[in-house]
Amino acid sequence: MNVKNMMYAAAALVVGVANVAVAHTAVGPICDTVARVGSTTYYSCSGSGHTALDMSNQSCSEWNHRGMIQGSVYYAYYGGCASNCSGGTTCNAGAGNYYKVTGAPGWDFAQLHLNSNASSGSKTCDRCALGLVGSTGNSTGAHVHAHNRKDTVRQSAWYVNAGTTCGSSAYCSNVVGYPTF
Amino acid sequence: MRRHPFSLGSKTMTHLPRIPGLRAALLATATCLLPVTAGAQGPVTLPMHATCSFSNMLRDLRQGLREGSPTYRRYLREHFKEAARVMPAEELLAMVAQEREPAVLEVLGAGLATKASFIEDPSLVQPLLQRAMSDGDPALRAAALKGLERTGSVEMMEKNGGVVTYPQLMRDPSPEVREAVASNLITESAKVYFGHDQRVSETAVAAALASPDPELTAKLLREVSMEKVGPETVDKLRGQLRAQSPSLRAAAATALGGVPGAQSPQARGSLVELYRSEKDPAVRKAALMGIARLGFAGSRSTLESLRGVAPGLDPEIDAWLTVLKRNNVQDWGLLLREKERIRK
Repeated sequence: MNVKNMMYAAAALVVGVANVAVAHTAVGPICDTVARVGSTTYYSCSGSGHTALDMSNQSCSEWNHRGMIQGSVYYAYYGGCASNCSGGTTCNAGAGNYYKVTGAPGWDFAQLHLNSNASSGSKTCDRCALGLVGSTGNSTGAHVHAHNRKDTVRQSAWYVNAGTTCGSSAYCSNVVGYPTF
Repeated sequence: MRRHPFSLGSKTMTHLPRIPGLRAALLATATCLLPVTAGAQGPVTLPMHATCSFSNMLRDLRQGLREGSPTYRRYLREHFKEAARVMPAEELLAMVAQEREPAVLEVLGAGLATKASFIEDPSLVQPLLQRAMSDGDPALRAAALKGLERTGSVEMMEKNGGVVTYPQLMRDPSPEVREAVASNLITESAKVYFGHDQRVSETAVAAALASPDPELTAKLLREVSMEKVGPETVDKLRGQLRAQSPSLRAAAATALGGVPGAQSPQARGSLVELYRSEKDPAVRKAALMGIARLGFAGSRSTLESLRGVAPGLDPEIDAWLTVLKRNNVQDWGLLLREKERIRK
């Protein structure tokens, strides 16, 4: 293969590489040192299947629900649910007000159940305030639910590999996982 | 609403005294700027107190960027970005305004842009944009731009009134600045928006077409995702199929392969026409790739119709047809890799 063809072959591969999912770093969503992880693979770590993180500081509509991804990414907002501190609604199919980061084909990362405020809306930012810790949608008490999916199937490796389990800190400078998207 | 309890707004704090050894000193100064983590243990007895000042931190940062390894310099950049989120904006702005060393300006700029992104105040990056536009030293203009890498810089430029834009910056006489423009846009499209943002893609095309350097134009068109662009941008890409530079024609063909489904009939027609009229085999290969990407399995009949137009490239068409017959491969990255495995 001559040099010119090699260059074109390399350029062709770049087109594919841009769509490859990579790991990111996720920190806790609440800047309160008492914030803790309450559920991981199972609800409360011993109940039925969950495969996501639930994080709370036992407050509602008081503390900011922050973007968890280190570095600037685009958070797409899906709102329309009235603020709630007890949950149990089907708003947005149970997700409540939520944000989604859509990555490489099939991969996404989402943060659910927030109560909206002036900060809420689609935006590009680095761990900024997205709303308030709340309980919109199918939720029992105010918390932040975060999941990482491949083809709509929730993954567990992202938090397992970070050693996150029930009781881990969900403070906003503590790494809780390495989601892929 | 209670505010988050960052308590690092003051200019002076205490930390370990400067230790012989660059790394230890930098770690000490940088660490004093970071928020205390939830897992922090009880009070630590310090051997003695010393002032932790921004001037000391900047001095150590400068030294590390001059003398550290590439890995260490990357570490410093990331560490400073983390620290900058909770630093007073006035201090950061003053440091950016006064800095004359490109490597340091780039890191300070990255810190400022991170803070702007964290607190959602795009006006913070205005001085950085001004330096990128008008500093007399091209290395400093490029450094100011590089500070914006991997942020939502296109949106921030818009929110600052569009006074400074990437197409403008792409007309800079310095190749270093133009390369920084291309690098920022490629990175932003891929790493911040994962290829899904129309505004960034269209800005990249506008910047590419403003570039006096065909190779840089080609790089942008080739590497920035086109999955959300509108019909006007598709028309601009089709226009580049008639460019004088073969690499630019190939890049435009590659870009047209990635346009949205609604734009694919026009794009496919242009690529077929290009394949029939083009003389350069590399450009023809790019046209075939674009056709395959636009239609996946649905492009087989179009590809088959091109057999014999350039007999030397019929094996290329066969390779695409072989891959496209495997209907289970729906991911473009996998499809391309498989085709490259069969025939490069």
